[in-house]
Amino acid sequence: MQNKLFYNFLFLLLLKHRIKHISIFIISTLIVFILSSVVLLSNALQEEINTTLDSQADFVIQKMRAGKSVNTPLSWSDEFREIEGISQAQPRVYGQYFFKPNAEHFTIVGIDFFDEQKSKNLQKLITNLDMKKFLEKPNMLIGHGVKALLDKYYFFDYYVFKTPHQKKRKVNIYQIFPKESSLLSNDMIIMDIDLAREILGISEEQSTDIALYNPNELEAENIYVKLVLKHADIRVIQKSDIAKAYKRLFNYKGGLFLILYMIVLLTFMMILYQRYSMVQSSDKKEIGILRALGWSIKDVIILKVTESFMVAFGAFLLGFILAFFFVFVLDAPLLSNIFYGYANLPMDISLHRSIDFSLVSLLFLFYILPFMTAVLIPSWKASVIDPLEAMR
Amino acid sequence: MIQLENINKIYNESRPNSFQALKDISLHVGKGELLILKGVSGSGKSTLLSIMGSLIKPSSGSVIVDGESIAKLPDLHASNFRAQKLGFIFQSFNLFEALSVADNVAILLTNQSLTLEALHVSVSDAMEIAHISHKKDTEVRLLSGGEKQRCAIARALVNSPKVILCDEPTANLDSINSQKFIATIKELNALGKTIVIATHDPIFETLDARVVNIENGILLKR
Repeated sequence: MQNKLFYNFLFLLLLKHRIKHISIFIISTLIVFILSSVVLLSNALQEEINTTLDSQADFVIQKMRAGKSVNTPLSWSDEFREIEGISQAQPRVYGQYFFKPNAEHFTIVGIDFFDEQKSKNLQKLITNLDMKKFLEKPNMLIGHGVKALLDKYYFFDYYVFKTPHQKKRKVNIYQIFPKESSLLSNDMIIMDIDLAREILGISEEQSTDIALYNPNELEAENIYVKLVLKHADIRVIQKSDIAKAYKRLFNYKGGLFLILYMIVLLTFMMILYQRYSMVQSSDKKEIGILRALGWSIKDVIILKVTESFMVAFGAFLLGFILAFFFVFVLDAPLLSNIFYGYANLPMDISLHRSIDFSLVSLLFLFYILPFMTAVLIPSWKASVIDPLEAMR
Repeated sequence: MIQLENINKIYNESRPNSFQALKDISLHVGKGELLILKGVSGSGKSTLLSIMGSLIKPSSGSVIVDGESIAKLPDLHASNFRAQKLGFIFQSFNLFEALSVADNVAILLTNQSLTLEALHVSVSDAMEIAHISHKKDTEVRLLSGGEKQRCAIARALVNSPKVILCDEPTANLDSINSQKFIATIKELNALGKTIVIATHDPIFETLDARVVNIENGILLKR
């Protein structure tokens, strides 16, 4: 039935009813924009974390004392290497450095730059890193949050750290991490492992923790049990635990937003339903005329549903494009703060542009179905009444 | 062309406020005939006209229009029947005020499988017969009462119907426009259209037509 003439008539009607549609269009666009922004941001963060976790150790071992983690003896790593299934055991040196002028913490990570795997990971993060030149002097790689804070106190090229033994250590800023990695590197300082030991006060016989690699995922549970039984004061953190913790964090925040969104959407649908239920007498008359002239109930419903669908689809498209621009071009101001939090330094993040089309389809259905239902029922009610009565 | 047999129409049947609008009406209208259904307000003439136009269904009795029994047609078939065989002219014109004359005339054809060219030809022809071609691009809200009536006539003719049903067509017209309407009706009748007019306007007495009086839902022949 829907030929060119039908759509011509439909556009004429849309134009005629533009005042009625415009308020619904604006509210719909806003709702889609909010929902899409939350979903796009949450999804992009999830992707970032998944990518990062891929290159992380399968187990992290910590030594516990009085319920807190303390430095781990290096001798442990030799013991763990002997466990079948463990391909690598790497002691790691890192810790928090309190930046007194601003009462903030930096995260110092010491890296053995001769370790092939770690160098590779770092090369992924910073391309064109000249390792030889970097190691010639006390140098460091810093995140954007650290850079902003050091700039604030005029440390443009270097910073002088104080060791726990009150010695001063001047370290040059060699390079800044790219913005895209800010989710993880924002408050991070990477330096040579020996320099990090000195600044953090970790002796050569100790490390902060030990990272273990297990190439066979199916063995993970067995290895976990073996590790736990090795020492009484051991804590074993699995990669899957870290992933779960991140997921829980973002799902919790995203979930809160979704609940709020559901409430807003429900309210909107009720308004929409009411608006279309109280079909104005002019609308009723129009339906009556069409029915009297030979339009069937089905034809009238198709007309009304198509009319509303065009409004809804237009609003969805605009809302989604605005959300994409907001999240990936403007880096989601305000909203991002809620998701990232202010655990340490304020973040300035550039997210990788990625769209999950199944998610877009879900968003579309989630929005369009209730919208169309809210329109369909009143339209059907109006079209089944006696045409003569409707025209009066 | 139109055969009504023992038509009864009861509104709100089986309810305390039920009301019998038509009582055992039988009426035949021949092909190309011009019939005036005359009666005061509430006499049942509009109800009878609506039954002829399959806008409402009778409570009992049979209705045959152009050989097709329409008394119990389901909605889809009744709509098709109206779209193909009938033309309606209503008391208050019932036009889309914000659309142009041509768009109003074309509405009936928009859900039919026609080419754009065929539609333009039908719309132009209908507007020509109704003498409203000169206003084809004007929005209906800007037209005078007489012009609106001409637009409504053009719309009623656009599907080349065999039967034209008019419900109080001169109620909103002055005497000059009413006379013009009568002239148009004569022209349409001369073209072989079967026309039924429900009215209480005495101006139609000047027409050479069969007049049937209706009173309290009962047909009185004159």
